[in-house]
Amino acid sequence: MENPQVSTITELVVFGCIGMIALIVFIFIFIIMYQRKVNLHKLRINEKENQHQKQLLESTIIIEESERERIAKNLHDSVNPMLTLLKLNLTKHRMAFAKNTFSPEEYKKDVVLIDHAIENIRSTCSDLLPSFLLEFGLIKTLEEYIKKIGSDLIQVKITNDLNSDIPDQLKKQQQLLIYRVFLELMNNLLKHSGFNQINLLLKEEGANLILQIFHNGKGITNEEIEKLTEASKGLGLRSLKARVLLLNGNIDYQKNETLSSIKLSIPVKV
Amino acid sequence: MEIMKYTLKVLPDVSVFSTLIPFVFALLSYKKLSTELKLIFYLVVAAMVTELISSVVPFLTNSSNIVFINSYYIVETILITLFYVKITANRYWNYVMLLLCLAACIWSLVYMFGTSKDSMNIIAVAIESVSVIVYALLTYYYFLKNIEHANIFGVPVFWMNTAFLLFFGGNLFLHIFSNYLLENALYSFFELWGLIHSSLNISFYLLISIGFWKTRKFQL
Repeated sequence: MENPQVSTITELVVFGCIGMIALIVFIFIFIIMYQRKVNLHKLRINEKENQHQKQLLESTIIIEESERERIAKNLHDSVNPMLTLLKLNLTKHRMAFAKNTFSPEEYKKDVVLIDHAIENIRSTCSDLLPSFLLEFGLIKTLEEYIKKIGSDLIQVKITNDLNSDIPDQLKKQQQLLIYRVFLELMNNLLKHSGFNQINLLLKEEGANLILQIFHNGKGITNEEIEKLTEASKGLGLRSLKARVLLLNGNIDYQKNETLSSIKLSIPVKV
Repeated sequence: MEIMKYTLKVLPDVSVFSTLIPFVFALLSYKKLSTELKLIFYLVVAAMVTELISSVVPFLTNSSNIVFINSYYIVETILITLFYVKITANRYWNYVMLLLCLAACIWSLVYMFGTSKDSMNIIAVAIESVSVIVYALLTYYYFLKNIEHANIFGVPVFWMNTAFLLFFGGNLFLHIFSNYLLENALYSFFELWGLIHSSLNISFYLLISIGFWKTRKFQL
């Protein structure tokens, strides 16, 4: 006959073992769940990475397309008509020369036309690779650009609060991208905002280079610019967005009755 | 049977000396120990000192070592609570843990210096076990919620938490078991109790040692 106390002890030990096994099983389940979550997390990160890569590729294509479009437009709208006109004029001069009615005044006009065509081609080349930027750096180029806008009608101001050599740490390619973003922003402001006062603020926030344009014209909000970019058929806004994406930067549009602003933040790896 | 007898004889001694393993591992990686791991190191040191005193005092003074063990439980409660407070980001939950710890300590001190000087504070042990099990489960939940490490086995806190869960889970069972043995005066079964207790102690310190070992390669 078994002792009831011994039987209870056996039961207790069995329950204890079951309890411990349950704890160990729980830990195993936790490890499996954790590992599954880690894998899922990795998968999501990979997906995001792929998506980002895809966006970068698309951005590069958009930028290339917009550059090509601009060059084609420049050549087609200005250089091409000039050269066609020159060809006609040269034929006219040849005929006039044969008839002894050649006019040196007319010829001088055509030389001016050639100068214009050369200037146009030079300007297109400069657009492709601005020599001033390469020679004097980003900040000087931006300052020069703003100064050029200044006139009797438009008041300009430049506030340079940069203390470190952050802009010098940017690669030439990045500087070119920032310059293009800035040009596109200024182009849009000149076309649509109708400002007569503008202030360019250059500063740093942590390891970010900040270009902030304050103006008293018609402002725009982030939502409005997003809608415009989506609806836009042209490449301007899309290439602007693409360039900012390539720079890993951010643009913040602030709309205000008296003073609106556009803030461009570019991270600089130190 | 001979092996069984030998194991029963040797295991408590092995259990006493098993505190040395995490102590050595912690010393080897002391510079890399974070604040929460240092708390566990202090716990190991406290356990070593208690084991030493508890083993020596009865021989030297012929008196009970209960007071040292009860004191150790207070230190253990404080250090484990601080460990969980340190690794838990929830401020309110931290207040709850600290308040519980404070209440447990006050009660344990009253018990120690009150009428029950020569008895084990078994209720405190049970409450401590339940609390630590809850803390450990919540820590697992926190790990699952915030996936911060690609390899959980490389995280020292995971090993410490696992050690606490298994040790205090087992302790809770031992508490019920010892209560039953005492109530029915089944003193001959205390060898079995000792065997389980020693096994739990050894596994606890081994898991803690792994945690300290992992500190050497762990990066936040």
